[in-house]
Amino acid sequence: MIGSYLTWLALRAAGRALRTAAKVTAAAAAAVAAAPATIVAVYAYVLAWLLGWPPRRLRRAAAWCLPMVAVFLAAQALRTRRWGDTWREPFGSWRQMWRLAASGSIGAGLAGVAPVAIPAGLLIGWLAWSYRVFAMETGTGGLTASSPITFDLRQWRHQVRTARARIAAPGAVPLLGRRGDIVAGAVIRAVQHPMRDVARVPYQRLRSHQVVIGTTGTGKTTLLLRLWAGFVAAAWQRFAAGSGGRPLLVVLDCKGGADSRRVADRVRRVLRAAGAQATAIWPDEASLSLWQLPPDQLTTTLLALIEQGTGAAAYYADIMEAVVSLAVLAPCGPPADSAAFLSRLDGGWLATAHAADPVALEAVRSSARQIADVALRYRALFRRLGTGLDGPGSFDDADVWYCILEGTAETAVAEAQAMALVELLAWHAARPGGHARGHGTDGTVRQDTTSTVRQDAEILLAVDEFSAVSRRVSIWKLYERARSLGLAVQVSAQSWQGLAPTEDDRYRIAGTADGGFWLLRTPYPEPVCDLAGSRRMVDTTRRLLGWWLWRSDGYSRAHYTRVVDADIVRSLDVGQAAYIYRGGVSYVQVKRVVAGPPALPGPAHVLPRPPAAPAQPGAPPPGAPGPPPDAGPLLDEVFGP
Amino acid sequence: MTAPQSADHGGHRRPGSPFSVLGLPASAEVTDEDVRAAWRRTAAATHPDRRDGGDPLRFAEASAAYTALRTRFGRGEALAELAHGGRDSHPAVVSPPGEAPLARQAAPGAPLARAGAPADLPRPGPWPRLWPRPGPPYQVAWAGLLAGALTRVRRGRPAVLTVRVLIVAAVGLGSAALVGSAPATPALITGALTWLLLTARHDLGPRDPPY
Amino acid sequence: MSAPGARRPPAAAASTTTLTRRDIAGLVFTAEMYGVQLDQLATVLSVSEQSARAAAARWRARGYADTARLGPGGPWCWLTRAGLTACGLHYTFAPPALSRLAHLRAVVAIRLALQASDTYLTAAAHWRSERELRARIGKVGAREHIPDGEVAWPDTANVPYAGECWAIEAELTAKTASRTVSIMRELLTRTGDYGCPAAERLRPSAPPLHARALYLCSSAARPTVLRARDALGPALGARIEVRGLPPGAHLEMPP
Repeated sequence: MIGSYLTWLALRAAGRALRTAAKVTAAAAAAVAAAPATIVAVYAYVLAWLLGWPPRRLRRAAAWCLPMVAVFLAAQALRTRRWGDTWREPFGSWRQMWRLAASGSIGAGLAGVAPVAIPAGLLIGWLAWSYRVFAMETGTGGLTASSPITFDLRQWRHQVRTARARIAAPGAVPLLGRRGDIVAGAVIRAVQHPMRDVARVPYQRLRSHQVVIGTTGTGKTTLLLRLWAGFVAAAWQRFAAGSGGRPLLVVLDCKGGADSRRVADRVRRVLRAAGAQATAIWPDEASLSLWQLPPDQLTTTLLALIEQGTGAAAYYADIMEAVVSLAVLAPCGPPADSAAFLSRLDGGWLATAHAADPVALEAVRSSARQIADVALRYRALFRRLGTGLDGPGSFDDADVWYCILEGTAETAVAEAQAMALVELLAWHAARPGGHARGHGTDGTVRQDTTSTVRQDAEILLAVDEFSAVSRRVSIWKLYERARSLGLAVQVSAQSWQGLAPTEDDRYRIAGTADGGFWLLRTPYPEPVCDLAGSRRMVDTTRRLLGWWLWRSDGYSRAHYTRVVDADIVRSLDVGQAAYIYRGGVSYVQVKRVVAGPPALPGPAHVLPRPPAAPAQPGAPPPGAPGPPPDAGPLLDEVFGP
Repeated sequence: MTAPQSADHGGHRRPGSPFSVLGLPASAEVTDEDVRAAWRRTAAATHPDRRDGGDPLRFAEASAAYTALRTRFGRGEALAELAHGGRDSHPAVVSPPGEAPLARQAAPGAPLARAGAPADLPRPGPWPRLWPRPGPPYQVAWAGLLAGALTRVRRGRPAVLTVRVLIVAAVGLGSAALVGSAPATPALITGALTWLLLTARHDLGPRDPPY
Repeated sequence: MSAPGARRPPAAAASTTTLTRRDIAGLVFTAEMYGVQLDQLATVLSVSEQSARAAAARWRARGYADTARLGPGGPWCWLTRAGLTACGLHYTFAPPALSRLAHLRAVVAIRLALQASDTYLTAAAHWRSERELRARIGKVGAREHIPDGEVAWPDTANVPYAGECWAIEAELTAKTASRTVSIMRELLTRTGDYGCPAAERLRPSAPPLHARALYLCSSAARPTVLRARDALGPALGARIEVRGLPPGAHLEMPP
């Protein structure tokens, strides 16, 4: 009985081996029979594996062979004059190939059948590669249980390599696509997004709110520059075609320091090439006027610039509000600059100004003892703010404003500046009608009110390193009313925590970011990954056979997993970003925007000052020209001695 | 200094391109200094302050040309206009006989509709079109297209492009050598050309001068 | 004459008037200088004042210019938007500001005085106006000081200062000496042309844009300007020329 059982086992094993051998033999025979197509299929499969292509790319390649096939069939039909038998030509060519191979002309045979073998091979390769990818994604493929993990990691590396090669090709990743989309870079991998070669962001999406999160050194500035350049270029195209308003980009760089100046120069060069005619760097080169705000809004803004307290300090805040209102809303009109405002913070002035209003006069008397304190606080504030908000100037004066706030060195000042700039911009966006810009004959920039052309602006406010000012700048409030103002807000921070001081505010910002999230490498991406949502995945368990072999039977189950893999985000390289939008993610290798040669000489971050005066009063400074030639005779002749 | 003119139609003088007005070659290699020096030469020769009264009309043209060319971006615009045969959206100013017309200007704020896919850094903006078409449109268009294509090749990866073209040539010659005039030859050439069309555009540089 | 901003007569009659080369020269001059009083316009056109009025009327009829009695003295003439367009100049339209009339007149007088000299004409020097410099800077850079004019001497001129560029400043009222010193220093140390990137404005190794600055002063402003020049030091001070305003530079005041 044992012998029969052993015999039965042996026969069963032999039967299995024979079945396997038969299958392999049949497959080999089919592969040899369809040899040219098989060779192409293997080549396509290996190429797809090597370059990390999605399967549909092979299918697309097969589709692009259709012109070749059409020419082949048409040429055959023309030669044989048998149009009805055209469909048989591929088989005829295949048979001809074997005949030529038998007679020693293998090359001629292969060349003769290539026009049909190539697309056929591509299709077979597509099927094979699709199956392989499916098997790995569901965990049913590979020799070991960890095969899918290894496969995925290797494919990621291949896809990154392919994406980098694509952005290195000079014409592969333009700044704008055919429909005016902004192209951020080459797509490495897409999950729940259509897989494309390049990452296109429609212009309208850039006109919605976006959030960019990434630590220092992850390529955040490169990504932001690309988005800004794309916005400017696309908006100018639309403006030129008459289908959009004049673009205005306002960047608040809340970090400050030498780096910000260097970035500002780079921004100017890049955006000039993209179409921005004038870039103003605030406050180094240009100024704005806080005092052009309407009186009520000016009062609110001035009060917001001073940090208020609670309890007894709240009472003081009420006094301050009363004093500031009296100063700004004086019958003679609002103040024109900070000096005028400070001069109004005087009991005598306020009493004189409001002499005709008994209620206001009483308020002046009540707050008389605190007026000097209020004046002191504002004097200190304006001294720290500098002259950047004292005008002249408005957002109409340039196409791009790069505002440098010293958030690292002087956080309180940066917060105040950010608040003021955001209020100014909101007012600028909400004005009933814009006018053309121009210079007055006295050199000041003013609006050309004789122009009857309304110039609506399409405004993008980009706040970089928002964490430096997030404590007091409630940008989420601007988010919520920005849509009606035609204003899009793009906030970038180093981390999720840097977006806002409280978790509530962070989710508020995230909740209104309907233009998508850009997530670069950050140590704690989980909250953002959660926001992206989840997707169904198939998980497969396989039974272990012996020491290291896995059986091909097991259990599969569907479950939900995050769309955005936090581990991938943590391992992103410099210049790589995950673009999260509507429950999907595209991992992108961002392409750097090329700018012209730098205007800043070397690492200088401020305007170089003229050489210091020499120690010797009479000696000319080094490098300075000598005394000029005598022009006395001409000047005496024309203007007298 | 005489500014180059295009065909004179019934007494209306059309200025040439901004490059020709300043006596500069229409090339992307022209620098800011070249433009400035050319403007100074032209201004010195035509300024109305001259004892002989100068040439106010040419001075105004030169002034407009300098404004257009003084930045690299402006020169790119002007080169693109030449390459693509900019349309003259405004008729010539009609002046009484015997009198030189003033320099023509497009109405400020006139929108420009740009057709076709933009290159890496597309040219934007409703800038007034200063310069009409300098010559018969087809001549400028073809010459401009060829010049533009060669520029894009030079700025791209010419070595890779050359290899691709050689591959296409090899496929064509190889199939002709192996199968002669069989249907496979034109089919393989078609396939190779399709491949070249799909892949070669990635090796071309952007249309505009790199900034 | 009409007030600024008043409706202009219809341009239907414009097509029958003829513009001469002199008209064109006058239009360009007026555009560059913001506006010109008619007596100075007569000098520009080398005609009598009556002929200058007729010329202004012709320009007005074409819609290229506007005229009005803005302040003391004769009427002023300035170019309209259409006139600026016709001249091929990318300046923003604005009538002369009342607060600047005296200054504008002075600068025009300086320019006329210079171009009347044989040396200037023979050397074919040319004038770059403040309006042109401001247009080059564009909409930002309001903090840069812009001279009232520049005179460029061609390299081929047969004068000792060939190749130089002079900054011209008209000083009618006395500023503070410290302000004047800083303006002088800015004019003499600037290296980049107006409209260049910010970092090229003051490049230590580059030659200065202005070889010298010519200050034409009223009697009230002269002491301050001289003090400021002395405060600059001999090296920079040697490049400051101080002279009086030419005749006809002052606005005619009512008796």
